[in-house]
Amino acid sequence: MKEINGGDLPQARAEKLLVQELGDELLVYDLERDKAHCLNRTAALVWRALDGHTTLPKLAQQVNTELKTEAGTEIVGLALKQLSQRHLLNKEAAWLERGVSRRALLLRLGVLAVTLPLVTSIVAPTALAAASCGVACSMGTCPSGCTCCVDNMCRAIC
Amino acid sequence: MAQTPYKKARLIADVLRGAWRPSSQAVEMSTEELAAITPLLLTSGAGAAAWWRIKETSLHTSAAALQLQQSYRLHSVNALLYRHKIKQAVRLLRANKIEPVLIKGWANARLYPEAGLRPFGDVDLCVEPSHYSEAMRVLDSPEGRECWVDLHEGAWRLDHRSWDEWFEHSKLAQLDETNVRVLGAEDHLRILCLHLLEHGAWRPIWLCDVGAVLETLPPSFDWNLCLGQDERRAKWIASVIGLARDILGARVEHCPQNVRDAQLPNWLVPSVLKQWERPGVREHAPPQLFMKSLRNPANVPKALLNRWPDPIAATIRLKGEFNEWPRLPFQICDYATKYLSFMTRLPRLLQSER
Repeated sequence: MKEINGGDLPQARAEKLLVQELGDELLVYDLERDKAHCLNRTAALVWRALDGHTTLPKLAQQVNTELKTEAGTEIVGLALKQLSQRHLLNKEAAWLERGVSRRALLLRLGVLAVTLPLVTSIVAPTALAAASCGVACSMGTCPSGCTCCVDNMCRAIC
Repeated sequence: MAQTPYKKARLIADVLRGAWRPSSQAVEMSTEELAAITPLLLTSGAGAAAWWRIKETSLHTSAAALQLQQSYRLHSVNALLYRHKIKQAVRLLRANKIEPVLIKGWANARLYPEAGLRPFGDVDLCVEPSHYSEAMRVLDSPEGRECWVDLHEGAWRLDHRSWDEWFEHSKLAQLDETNVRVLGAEDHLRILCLHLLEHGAWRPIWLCDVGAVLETLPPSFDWNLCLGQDERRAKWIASVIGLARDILGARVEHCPQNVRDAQLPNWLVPSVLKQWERPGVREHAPPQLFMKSLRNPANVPKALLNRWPDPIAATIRLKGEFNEWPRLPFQICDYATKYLSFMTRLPRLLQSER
């Protein structure tokens, strides 16, 4: 993996994101791309620390302390890679694509899977999926084209 | 699985009991039992609420629990996005001097410990009838279309009250930095109860909603306003409260005695449990238009059977009492009424198809 130094740490993106804590996970909804992501504890720890001032050694040490591991640098690298792939960083970091993989970390360093950062994408709702009927229709045909008409009334699933 | 009537439905009740509270009694269930009911929980939208109940038990690492946890994440993402859209829609309408009232969705979910414990649909807003056209215009703008608003003209389920009376009784609820107008507690509880009955109580999360409202009533709650003047309807509402009490353990000690001690007819709880065992939304979606079935006569018997009404909804549609009388006559009458109505429309429908 190409060496990253403290000056290279990208900053976490803040614009056009909705963020919510969910236990020790973090949900992030990207309003620009209409995509939702779930950051596990490790990924959330790294992402939150990317304030533009924190250096790599400091962040790696923080990870080591929190997760009781010595693979902090590699874990930060893996987290940055996943966050970059999902456009959750302010700076594109193409070099991260060549970084360490989860598998390598598991095999080479014997890091526990639960310790590894994980950013998973979640299927986000769409307007079509959200729509309910509940409007009066005529002649047994729903104006929205759905087929839920009973007694000249669209039957919404609430 | 042991041959107890509605065993799965009773397990669903066990796992959802008190799901609207920050913490509640431990769930006692095996991993096999949880696995058996997880598909029903997921398809009825109660997965997140179930996860909330088991997340600190030994069940939380089971395969079924992980599915429920994913449902929790999905609903939480939904809630995150919809809260954003609600605020957008309300700000947009208010900028055009229109004050909307939010119903359903977050109006229900806000009473849970986390909004993501309850699934959301679209953003349902009511506006005064005189503002409806303008509101439609505003929401038809590029910014408005992003809000996924389902706009209602006037009050939803007016129940013989004027918009002004309904609006006067609404209140403001805090959604992050925005105040959003929602129904007054009396209207909210009444509508939840009636809506549940009209749909045959098939969705367990609706009964959880009733529990959530019952346990967050303000001290000034006006039971006369909630129950209304119609005695029969008041008994319907009291019956739903009784269902929340008996099936999900909702606390009713602060309700008036006639509501608190409401006796449920013997058929009611089994009818609800039977509905909960029907596997998912597809079973409860209104069947395809009967006209489509008529095009292929082989489909007609099944189409007729699919429309057999449940006893709860049939009673409500026929404005019947919730007493110990058998429900079969109500179901037969409701069925016959629907088909008579269809037969009178059939010539016009056939003509429109040509």
